[in-house]
Order: sequence, then structure tokens, then C-alpha cells
Amino acid sequence: MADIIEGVKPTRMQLLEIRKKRKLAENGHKLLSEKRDALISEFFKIIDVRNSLRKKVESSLKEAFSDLIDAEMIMGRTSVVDVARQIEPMDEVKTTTMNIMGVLTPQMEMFSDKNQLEYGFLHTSAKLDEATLKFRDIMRDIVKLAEVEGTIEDLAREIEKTKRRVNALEHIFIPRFKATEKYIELVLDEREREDFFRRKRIKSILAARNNA
Amino acid sequence: MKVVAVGDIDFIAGFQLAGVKEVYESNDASKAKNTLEKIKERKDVAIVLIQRKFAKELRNYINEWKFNKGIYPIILELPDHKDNEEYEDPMSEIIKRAIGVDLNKR
Repeated sequence: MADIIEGVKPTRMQLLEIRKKRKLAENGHKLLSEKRDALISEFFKIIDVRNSLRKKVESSLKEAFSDLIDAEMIMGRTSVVDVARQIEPMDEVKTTTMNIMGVLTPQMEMFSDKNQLEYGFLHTSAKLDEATLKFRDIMRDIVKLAEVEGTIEDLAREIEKTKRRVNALEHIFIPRFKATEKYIELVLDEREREDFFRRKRIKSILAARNNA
Repeated sequence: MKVVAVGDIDFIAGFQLAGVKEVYESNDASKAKNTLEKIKERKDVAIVLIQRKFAKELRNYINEWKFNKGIYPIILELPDHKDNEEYEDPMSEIIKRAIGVDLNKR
């Protein structure tokens, strides 16, 4: 049995108040556990997306890097690095947030559809072109992956928080309210019974005195 | 917002080719950490791409950062061409903490 709340006076007022509080806690518990379940189902959905995207990014990144290394072997590392410095930067990503069950999650968009290579063809190898195009392709997936992983992190944090709250309500607050409620009810009943007998007793004493 | 990349010379060359403007070269984990420290102060960064070999060494630092940050920036660990070995996915730890089971080990 859970402990009763300390410092509670066993009065009817308190009993009503605690009943109100318990109702509130039970409502909150129901809502929060629904939220938790919804968040977890959302979480499951996104984990599958993340795993396949991650695999795709990693394998294509590996390919792109090996093309880059090939290009470095053909042209020399310094000239590859020089060319890389000259590349026109892509547009910035546009960031917004999306609300999943009250959790703000990242959303990103990227607008750049450049298929043109801005460097000269004279001193560069075809391998470098391949690597560049591959990296550009991957960039879109990387932004998507960042979005998904960010979402997972935020959702995970929120799930943890919600779980803790649900557990606290379920295992601490609600039992405590119930125990206190029961305690007050018992005390009040006891008092009423005492009162009842006192009255009976007084009645019989008075009756005896009147008869005498 | 911006995308930044932190890694060794090959890593950043690759992302420069992809159009990432801000790249920071670092040859070891402590230098990478200094760079991350600077990025942490900024508000205009959306994605931080970090080479996995540095991220592995800075795992604690990154986790702490992830725990305290808001929505952005998102820290993304990416492998380079040399990364072949199996490595521990930091995401599975997060998943495990959230739902109590490790889904990737099904």
C-alpha cells in the first residue's frame, strides 16, 4: 500500500479535494499514455525509414569516396582539392519544423538542381566528374537523413519524458491519492460511528433520567 | 541555414564538390572538437556532417551536445571510404533508451 500524503487532515473538504485531484491525475494518466503510444507508433514508422536511408547513404557515399580517391590518384590530391575549392556552393537549406503529437521535429528542404560542372575539363579527369555528380546526388539524401535522424532524436527524448510521467502517475501519484482517500474515508466513518453511539448513549441516559 | 562539414582533407573535398561551402579540415579528434566547439556557438547551422572516425573518439562530447541542443543543428556521422569495419550505431542506443528494446538486433 502506498503511503498517504503527509499533513492531510481527515476532513470532508480534504476528501473532496483529493477526489478531484485523483480524477485529474487519472485523466492525465490516460491522456499521457495515449500520447506515449502514439509517439511510439510514430517512432517505429520512422525507424524503418531511417535504417533504409542510412544504408543507402552509406553505400553510395563509399562509392563516391572511392571515385574521389581514384580522381586523386589520377590528378594528384592538391589539384583535386583546388578544384573542390572552386565549386560554387549550393543554396542554403530551408529549415522549418513539423509538429508530431506536440513534438517539434526538423523539416528541411533543399533547392539546388545543378547538373552542370563549373570547372574546366582540361585539367580534370572523368573520375572527378563522376565523383562530383555522385556527391551531389547524395547531398539530397543526406539532408533527408539528417531530417529523419533529428526527428528520431527529438521523438526519443519526448518518449522518454512521457514514459517517466506516465510511470510516475501510475505508480506513485494515483496510488497515493487512493490511499489517502481511503484513509480519510475510514477516519470519517469511524468518527461518524462514534458520534452515532454517543448520541444513542445520551439518548438512553436522558430517557433514564426522564423516567426516574 | 547552412550545412557544414568537419573531417580530414579527403572528406571535406568530397563535400566541397557536392556544394557544401563551409568545410573545416581537421586531422585529429582534438582539432575536430575545437571546430565543433565553435560551431556549437552559432545559430545558423542546420546540419553538421562529421567524419565517423572523429565522431567515434568524441562520442561523449557529441552525446552531451545532442542532449542539450534544441532541434538544430543536427549532427550527422558519415563514413569515409576507409570505414569498413562494423561499428556501433549511436542511434540504436537512443532507440533502446526510448522504447526499451534494441530494434536493430531483431
